[in-house]
Amino acid sequence: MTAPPPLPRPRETGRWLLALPAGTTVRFLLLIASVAVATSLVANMATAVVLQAVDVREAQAHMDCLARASTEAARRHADGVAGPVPGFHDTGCVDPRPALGWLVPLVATGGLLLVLAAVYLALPRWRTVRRGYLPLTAMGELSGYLGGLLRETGVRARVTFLAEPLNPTVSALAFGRAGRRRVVLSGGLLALHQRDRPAFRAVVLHELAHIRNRDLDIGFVALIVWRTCGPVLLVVATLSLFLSPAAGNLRLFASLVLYSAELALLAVLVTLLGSAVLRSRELYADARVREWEDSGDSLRRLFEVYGPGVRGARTGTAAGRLKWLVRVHPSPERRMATLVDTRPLTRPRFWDMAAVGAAVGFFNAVAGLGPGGGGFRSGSAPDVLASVLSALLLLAAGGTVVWRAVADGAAAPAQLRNAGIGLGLGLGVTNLLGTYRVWVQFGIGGSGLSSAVPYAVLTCLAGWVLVRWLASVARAWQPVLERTGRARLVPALVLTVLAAGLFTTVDLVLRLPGLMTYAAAYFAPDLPGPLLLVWGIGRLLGDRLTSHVLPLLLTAALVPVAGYALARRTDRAAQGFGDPLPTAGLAVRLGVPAALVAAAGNLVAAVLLPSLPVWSLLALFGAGQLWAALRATRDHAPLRLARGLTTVLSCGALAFLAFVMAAEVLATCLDGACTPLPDAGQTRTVLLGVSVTSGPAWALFALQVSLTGAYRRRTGRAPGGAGRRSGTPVRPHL
Amino acid sequence: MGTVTYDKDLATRLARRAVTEAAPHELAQFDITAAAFHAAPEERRVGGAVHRGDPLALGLETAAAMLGTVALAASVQVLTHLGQQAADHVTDTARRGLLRRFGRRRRTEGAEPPRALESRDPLTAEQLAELRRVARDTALRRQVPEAEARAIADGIVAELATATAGEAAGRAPDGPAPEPEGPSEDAS
Repeated sequence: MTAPPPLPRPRETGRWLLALPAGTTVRFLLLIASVAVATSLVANMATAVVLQAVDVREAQAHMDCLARASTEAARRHADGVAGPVPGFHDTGCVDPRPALGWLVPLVATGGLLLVLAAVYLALPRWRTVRRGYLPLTAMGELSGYLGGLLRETGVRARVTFLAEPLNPTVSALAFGRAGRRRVVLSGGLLALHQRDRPAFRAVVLHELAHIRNRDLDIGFVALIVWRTCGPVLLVVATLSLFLSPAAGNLRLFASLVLYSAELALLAVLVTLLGSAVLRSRELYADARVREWEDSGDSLRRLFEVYGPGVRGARTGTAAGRLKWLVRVHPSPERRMATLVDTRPLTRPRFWDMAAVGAAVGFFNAVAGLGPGGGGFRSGSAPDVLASVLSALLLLAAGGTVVWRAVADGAAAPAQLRNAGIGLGLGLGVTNLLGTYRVWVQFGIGGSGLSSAVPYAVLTCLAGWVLVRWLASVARAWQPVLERTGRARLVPALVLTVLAAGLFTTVDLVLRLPGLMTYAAAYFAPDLPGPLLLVWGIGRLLGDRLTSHVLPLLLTAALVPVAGYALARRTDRAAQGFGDPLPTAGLAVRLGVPAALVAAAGNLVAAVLLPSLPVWSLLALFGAGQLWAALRATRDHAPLRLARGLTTVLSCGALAFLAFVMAAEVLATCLDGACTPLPDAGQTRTVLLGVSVTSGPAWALFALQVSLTGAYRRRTGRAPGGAGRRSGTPVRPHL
Repeated sequence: MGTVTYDKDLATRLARRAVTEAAPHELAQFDITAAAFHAAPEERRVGGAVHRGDPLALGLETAAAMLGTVALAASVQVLTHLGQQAADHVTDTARRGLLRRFGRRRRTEGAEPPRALESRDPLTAEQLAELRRVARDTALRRQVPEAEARAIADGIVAELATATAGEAAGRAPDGPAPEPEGPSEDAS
């Protein structure tokens, strides 16, 4: 039997692929957080009900009272009577539940965490005793060989090798808590030490790769959490389902049924995604071994000789794929393929990202309820905390997946599109099915339900834009990462900054269904759902220009541009950017000429035509911003959209500021009391103006760029046309 | 069905000889294999310690041929067979003695495991052939190939013969001094 040909040389992936944070790690943490929060909530509510004996009917009567108070307020609003919409605590409705302090929830949550910690600490020893693992006594040659492998791989963790002598399979497993890692070698594997040393070595390296990849705790803790929390969730789901017919009214019945369905769906999601992450752990461990060995041949031979039916496994059929979907180990074909090309491993996938979005949506819904399981007396703190954590988890999970894909060259536009749509779909659907929202929907007769589909479309589009933009950010910052060698710190800092800048936007997207329901019930009951959604978004953004729109625009512009600027300073061309090309001067890139022209033009118009409506002045400012962006990005340097947005913001700020200062000079200096500098109110006016005009100006700019690009692609014209002169040196400035 | 008791040290010694003959590459791990074998319940001794689908394992699940546990199982079976023969002989002798002496019965409850070499007589060729057959059949039942099964049987029988010959030589007044024994013959 002739030896099989060696594997094709692995595609060069660069040394950063395994150095970057694993998207699987963050996704797994997200799942653990979702399950832990849900279980903690269940425990909190159970203890609260048991200890305080709340009557569900009295609680429902309180809800009805709140609904009547809100309806009355809306009616007064419709009649033109000014007044705020009452909150939960100023309606005069009696809350039957005693004040829920934080003691019970803290004790319940703390108890849960203690149990998990105790299991994490005790499980390795218990497993060792129960399965009869033995130390490698009187096996000096083997112990020396294993010590050599540890030194060779650079694994610095303390590792104890154990034996399971009666296990005849060729198997090993790594487990143990931090600081006390253990690797168990089966009897069948020990027999290979003398008989088939390369296979023995490949297996041990694979286990050491898990330790090196730091994925032991993730897998271990996830298994503990799922096996601890999973039964609780399933029991609660089953109980809710069986108790729902006794609810007494349709609203509570529907809520309980949906609550059961949500928990069951979470169980399915956790199982599938958990299995997917465990499979990817194995593939990343294989990739690490391939990196150490500079070849995948040893693993390939191992899988062929000792694998589970390498030549017989059928994964091409639907049944085959379904079978491998729930397995915790990858199929042999997938392992073989990934040894040669890691892109299938790092490529962002629709369903993976949909699960991420769903987990974030579920986490936000549950965490936002607060310790009492509802909005009663919980205040706004749980909502804010849930929004911040949701934004952080969303960007960390999605961002790390996309970053790895970019680093590995697995981020084609079509793949990013599918991943982004999946992310948005998972988030949107889970958000729409929130139990509390269903409760309210039944209470208002289903008004506004027709906005559900447009909302899902909106979240899909938002997910697509987010993922595409994350890819741009990753491309911009990757050279900085490579230059500094901080493969974890740079992505962590960048994604944290993104989360800080975008959490208000994420919060708004997550709150939209509830806000639309409220609007449909009390403000615009006759408006069709899609129009209600558009109108509602416009109103909300109009009220939140400086808190939502401006941070969004600033983050979207400055983060990628800052990375690109730092990358150019590192003397290393960023991947995927092509040749760096000259751009306009700094003043033009900041929109200074356009800002001065726009400010002067508006000042003249305001003086000569004082009856001009405000929107026309704003339109002039916007036109100036658009012109500035087009002029500043006439060349074909990368990140055109982000650079254009930077120019729009800068031009807008300068134009409004110049206008306000000039107007102030004209108004005050002629009387002798010259105060050219803007005060707080004028500064706020500047910020509002920038927020109002920048979005539409950039949208038009982006439209022009897209249409121009599409036209050039259709006509076959190369993108390096006018504006690029060959041989022109790159000016090393920002 | 009661727990089979046997001389663990002797079983280990026999199996070690068998492993030396049939699978010398397993000698390095034989000590811990024997320790685990003797400590494990009978159903887990050979092929029963497999954990399929363990999420933390490598996922290969292919079983390698482990002759050490098979040799130990064969040794135990041989000693059990030998002990049964010795017990039958003792029973016959005791029955005759009882018939002669009206019910004087040797206490057998709580006695130590049957000492296979209690008689201290060298095993005859017929006995060794029978034991060899027992060992070979035990190995074949464990899916071991014929050649390895024979090697295991040969090793066990050779060590048995050596052990009994050494015992006999040690008892002979003019015989050579017995070779120093490593493991104790006391049942553990």
